[in-house]
Amino acid sequence: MKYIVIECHPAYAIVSDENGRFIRVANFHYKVGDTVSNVVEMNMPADASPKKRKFGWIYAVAAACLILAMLPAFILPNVMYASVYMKINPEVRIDVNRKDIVVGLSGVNDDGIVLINGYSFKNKDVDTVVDELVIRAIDMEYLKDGGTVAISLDGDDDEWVNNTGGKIDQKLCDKLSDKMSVNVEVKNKKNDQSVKHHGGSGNNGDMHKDEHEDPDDDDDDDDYLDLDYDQSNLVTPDESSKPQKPNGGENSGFGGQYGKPESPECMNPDCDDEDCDGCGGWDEPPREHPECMNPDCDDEDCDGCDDWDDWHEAPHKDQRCMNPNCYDPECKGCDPEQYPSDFSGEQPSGPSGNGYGAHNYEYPRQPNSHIHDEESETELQHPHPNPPVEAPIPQQ
Amino acid sequence: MHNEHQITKSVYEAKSDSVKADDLISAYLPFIRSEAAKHMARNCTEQDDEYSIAMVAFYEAIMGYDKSRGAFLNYAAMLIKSRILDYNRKEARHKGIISIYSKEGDGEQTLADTLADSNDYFEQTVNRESVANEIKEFAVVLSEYGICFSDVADNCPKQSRSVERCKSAIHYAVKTPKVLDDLKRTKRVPLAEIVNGSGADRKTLERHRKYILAMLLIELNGYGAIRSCLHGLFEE
Repeated sequence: MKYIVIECHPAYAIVSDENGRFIRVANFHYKVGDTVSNVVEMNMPADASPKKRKFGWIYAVAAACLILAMLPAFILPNVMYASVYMKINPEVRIDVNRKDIVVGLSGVNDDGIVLINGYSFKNKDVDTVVDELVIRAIDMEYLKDGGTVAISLDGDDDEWVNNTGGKIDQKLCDKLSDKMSVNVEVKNKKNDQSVKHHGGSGNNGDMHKDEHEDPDDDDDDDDYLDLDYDQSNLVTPDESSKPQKPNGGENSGFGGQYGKPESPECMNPDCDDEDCDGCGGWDEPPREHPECMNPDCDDEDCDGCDDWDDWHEAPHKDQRCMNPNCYDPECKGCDPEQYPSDFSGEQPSGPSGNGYGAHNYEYPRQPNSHIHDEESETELQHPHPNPPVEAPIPQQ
Repeated sequence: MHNEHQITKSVYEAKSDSVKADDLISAYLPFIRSEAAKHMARNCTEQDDEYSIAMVAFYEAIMGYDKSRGAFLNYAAMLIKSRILDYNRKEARHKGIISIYSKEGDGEQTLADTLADSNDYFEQTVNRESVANEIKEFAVVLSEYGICFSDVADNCPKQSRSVERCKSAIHYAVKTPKVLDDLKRTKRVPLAEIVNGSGADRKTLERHRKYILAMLLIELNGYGAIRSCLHGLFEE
């Protein structure tokens, strides 16, 4: 293409090509009338020749009216209705609309800003955003095992606060049940009242307060063995205090009245009464010393009171014969005077011809009346309150 | 700050007045040269092509400057840099080619001196002088109709559709003596008659009225040399 130079200026030249186009080009020392071939065309900006349009203002007004008419459809969904504050250590504020869709997200502190950096909340509901931010916090090591996630809801409608708080709490707990154990606190920001508070559990996902309790187990024995059971109030009973026999009294089989344990709780493993302060009818009194069965014995080193033990070990059914060497279960009572050897273990010979002599004594047993003196090695016998009836001696 | 206001005022005045634009460019020639030298491996002289490129870029900055977007000199420096880089990139493809004006050996003889040249430089010079004279007369005629070559360049159609419509209108007007008589008599382009006769869009012809007027004046006054150069427009 050849160009003819029409006009020259310091910075540019006007040339015309063969098709009649008049253009501005860089002036490479051209002169008017020169015929050139390679030119550098100047780029004229569009603002250099503005085109005025008639009635253009009508289009502008129509566009403005259209935008105003459609504005609510775009703006109302993004109008903030309430706010949810989530605090781990980083604290963030989550703004939601009426449908609980997140419309704004901002960091309250520096860590919060770092936490939400690069996170998109568009078209997500509030519980999803809370879950995802908590997961981000775990990944960024802001939230660790045993930590706390505090959720505060700021809204005018208390019903919304309760519903949304519960929804967030439930979903968050379900999300974290397999990951780690954290505390989730949900509060109403206005009155600082708790909406819900659960302690997150570990791997089993059990949200009950007692994590060792089997929900199908109705036996309250587990409560007694509950490790969460606060035993700090329990007081170890004194050595001198022992549980009461059912009948109680000084002449009880246990010889005395044992003091009630100082602990208000019942230590009887078989007791089903939750309100029981202590079973008095516990069959087996607590024994300080497992060897001595004599409840009246205060000797800690006692290996067992002989007479008392022997007496209890006596195989007498009716417990009427006081002869410790007598093993006749049907013996009604050996005469200690007549058959003293019986008491020493020898077989007496008596009127009955049997080895036990007369066993037709009848005298009430007085277990406590038989006292063994260890020092003198003698048997002391208290006079029986009811002396035995002598058996008639058969005449030869 | 005062200088900035002064420069901005001068630039806005130069947008609508080509004479003031030339004066502004002349006043900032040192700035233009220094900016061009930044992107050259040597000092910039008036003989360098980059110098011309920088000046045309400065003129583009004048025409396209908007004071709300920043300082003018920064804008001009940016445009100068981009234009020179574009030019260097375009010229880089010719790097391996030896210029015919390069000197051969140690003497003063160039390669062009050794090549046979069939051009008649005398005829070319005569032709150039005649064209220049016609162009000067043409400029005077245009001034009588209240336009100049800058107006014609601004008014010239750029899109091919517009070029074709203007071309058909010009062909009709050239063939119709009545149109040229009306033009000579009223010193206005009879657009209504041209629209009816050529069938071209009136809005297009209105938009390029000054350009159509200049072409009709070339035909009316018999500027043969110019017409021969624009043979692509006048030939059907």
